[in-house]
Amino acid sequence: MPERKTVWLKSLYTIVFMTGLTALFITVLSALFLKTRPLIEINEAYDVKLAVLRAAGISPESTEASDVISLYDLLVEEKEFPAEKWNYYQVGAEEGLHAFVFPFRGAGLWGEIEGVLGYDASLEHITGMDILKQNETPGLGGRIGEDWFKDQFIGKQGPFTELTQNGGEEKLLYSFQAITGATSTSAAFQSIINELIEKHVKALRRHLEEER
Amino acid sequence: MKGDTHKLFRDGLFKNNPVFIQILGICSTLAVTNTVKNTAVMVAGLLFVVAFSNLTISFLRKAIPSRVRMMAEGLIIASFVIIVDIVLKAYLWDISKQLGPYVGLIITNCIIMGRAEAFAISNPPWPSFLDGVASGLGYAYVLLSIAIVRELLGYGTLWGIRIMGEGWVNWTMMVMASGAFFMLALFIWIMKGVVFRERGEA
Repeated sequence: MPERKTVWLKSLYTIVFMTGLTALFITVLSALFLKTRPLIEINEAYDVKLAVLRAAGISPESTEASDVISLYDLLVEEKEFPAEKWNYYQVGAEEGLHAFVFPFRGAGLWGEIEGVLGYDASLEHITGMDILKQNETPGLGGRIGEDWFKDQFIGKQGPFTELTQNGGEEKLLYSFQAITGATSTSAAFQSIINELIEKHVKALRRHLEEER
Repeated sequence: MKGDTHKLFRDGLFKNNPVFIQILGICSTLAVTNTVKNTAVMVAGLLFVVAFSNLTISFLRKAIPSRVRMMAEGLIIASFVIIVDIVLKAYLWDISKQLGPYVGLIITNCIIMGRAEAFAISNPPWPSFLDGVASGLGYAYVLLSIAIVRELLGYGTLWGIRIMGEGWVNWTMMVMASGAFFMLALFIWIMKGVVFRERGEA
């Protein structure tokens, strides 16, 4: 009987110890998280603002957070598409419209790919593209974040029917170079971008034409 | 005591080095050593985690029930890793983004659990802390040595500052995973095949 009591007490101690240890570390981590949350939110917002400017074809002279945020506040207006629940950014509305930037999000090979795609004021040609979040294979699909991959979209039209850069001038407007060894990520990216162009870019184009 | 401290550091840095003797922490060794800056942040993070998790585990060693020993160690290690992750996200945002999932993966670094199980759980706090520092430094100098060569040959820079002349052609392979395999193998060969053999310790 006393032996059973000892086993029971040991089990209780184990539970109390682990509960106490967990509570202690959760308290410490929560306090640290709450203390640093404003800084992390500023960093995350800075990323989005810099990406929107770059997608609009604007390269800020300084990438200091305060400079980027003030340039963004000066040039960019966040808009909601009428009657539908999606947002886009209008860049340079005050000084002659410069570009429209569309956020995109979709399934990559391993996780979600998030980014922004910019179009010129006529919604005909791409002004830039930037990736905000991706979890693709480092060194392979992860290369969608590299400049050579992002910059190849500038001047193109889309939707993209092919993953190649071979062909005449006309074909180049509707194709992009895939990443060697990352066919699945390239194809997933193609479908994310095409869906954005078909649904949002074309909808805004129609809406602006109707307004005119 | 002085002799013990000397032995702890000699083991962590050379005789029982976590990377080239125990072959632990290889995932991060291959992944983050393409630039010196990323490597420096990674090794600082690991050094902090291994030293302070060793210290905490050692403080609690008599209170931790043996049947949940590894669970408690995992909780303590994970908490210190999250501290590193939060601090990087708040104060070193660019580096935090470049390191991506590898900061979180410090939790799975076998060096930390290895030192907790092999040393901290059965030794007093101060030697455990020093053991963590020694293992962290042992990991640090190996990774930094590899990173210096990889960044210099792969990008022609060190800490982002151009070192090689304008005519330098980057060895792209050096900044890819295959370059890390070659450099790590070369480092292990130099240490075990040349340095240790000359000292009669191989």
